[in-house]
Amino acid sequence: MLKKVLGIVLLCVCIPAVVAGGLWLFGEQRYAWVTLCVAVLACVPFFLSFERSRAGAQRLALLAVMTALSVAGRVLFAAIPGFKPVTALVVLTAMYFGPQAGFMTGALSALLSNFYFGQGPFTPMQMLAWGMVGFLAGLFAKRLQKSRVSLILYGAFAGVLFSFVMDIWTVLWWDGGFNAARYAAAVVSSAGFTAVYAVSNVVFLLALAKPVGRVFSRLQQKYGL
Amino acid sequence: MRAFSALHPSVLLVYFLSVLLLTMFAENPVLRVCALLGGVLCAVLSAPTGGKRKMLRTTLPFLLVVALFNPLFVHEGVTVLFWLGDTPFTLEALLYGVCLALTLAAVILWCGAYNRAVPSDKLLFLFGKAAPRLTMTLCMALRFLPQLLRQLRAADRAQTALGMQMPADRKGQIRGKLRVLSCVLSVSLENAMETAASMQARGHALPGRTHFALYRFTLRDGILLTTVLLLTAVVLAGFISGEVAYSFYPRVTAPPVTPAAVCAYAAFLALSLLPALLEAVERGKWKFCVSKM
Repeated sequence: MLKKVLGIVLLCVCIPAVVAGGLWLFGEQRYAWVTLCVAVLACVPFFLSFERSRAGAQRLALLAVMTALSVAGRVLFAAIPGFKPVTALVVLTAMYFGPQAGFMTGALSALLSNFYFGQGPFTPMQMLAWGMVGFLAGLFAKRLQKSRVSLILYGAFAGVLFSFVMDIWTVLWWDGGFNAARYAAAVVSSAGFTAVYAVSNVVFLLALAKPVGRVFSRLQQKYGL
Repeated sequence: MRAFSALHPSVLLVYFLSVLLLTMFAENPVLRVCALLGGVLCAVLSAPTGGKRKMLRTTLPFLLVVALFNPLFVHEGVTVLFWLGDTPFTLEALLYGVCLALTLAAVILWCGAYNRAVPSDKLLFLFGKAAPRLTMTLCMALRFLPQLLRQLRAADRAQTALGMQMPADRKGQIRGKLRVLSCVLSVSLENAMETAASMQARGHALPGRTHFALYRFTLRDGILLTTVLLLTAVVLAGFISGEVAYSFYPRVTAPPVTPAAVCAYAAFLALSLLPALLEAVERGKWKFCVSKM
């Protein structure tokens, strides 16, 4: 009972108070503050639903391996900047194990890889961006499994989405407000990276879709995931 | 930084959260300089030497770019230094850029200190009870990561030795790496399923589990937590009353020096020097004990 009341108090009082307090306190940086809060809060329902789902040990192990593998992929391909298999692995996990698994793999990969590459104020934003890429892939799982064209399109879309979301954060934090001209400048200056993200996603998805799909369907058959 | 890192993880987490948030969102240059000072001291006391040099090499150019880019893009401010074509290059925008670079440097330094003082196992200790599944997943992923990297390297070396990925052949190299990734994936997934079966057999997620807690909340932790919260409250009071409010635009002015503002500065300085102070006390004790013997 006490736990429930505390939860409701936290939800209805503390969170709005934190957001509003930040708005009021950090005059110049308030947009960055609100974005940070929104990114953290947007992740919370997904994590809560994962906690509530009573996922068994097998599912935990599966998510842990996929998370560790995408982080390891980021390390393995560290020599080629921007060219990383993280998004492709997240999308593939989502395609075979649903939107929740996709979100968890994406968000946890961002969190975990930043233990290695350095945490920063951008971590929640990255978690949300990768999580959403996975979640959406889980929603369109059927279509992505069937047609290669939609897989290619989704890979490119995910790369562009990720880059644009991170640019929003950059502009908000540097400028203390959303400045359309600065955003355009950020988008243009990161265009090379956006292109590399999109291309690498497509390449990895096309290359990994078949072998990984085979491994996943075998796993589903063998262990009934 | 033994003295500071040995504190209870919750104290460390509260401390770093409040310092980082105050640093990121303070607009007053005095507060930013205080944060930078604390961050530099932390880095000097605790970062490995090689890490320091690498950090200087990689971040300094980036900070210079940040400082110089602001006046090129932003033309607010009334003190024009010179004209570039027909756009003004203002003193205010330049100072704002420099200040932004200082803040960025401080945030990078503090994040580094955080990474050294709060390794992931402390974080897992803190949140293990509130979110067992999430924490367990993270824990397992952290355990799988070095194992996977080892397997990936082994597979990679084996494929290279077989001549499957020549350095000159970029396309073949990428294809080889992909092959490595998918074989390691299938091996490690099978292994993980075995682990899961073993966990299940040993009663994973059954009620009545106990915790293996390594950290105990002592009186010292309580005192320091209270101090941190009090200092943060003083700085926040400065924010709320608007005493430390500062803006570079339209014209640069001296930062406010009212008594309330000075209190906020002092509180934030004390807050950001706390790890260094603790360390100094610890080293002092050490010296003192040695000389008495």
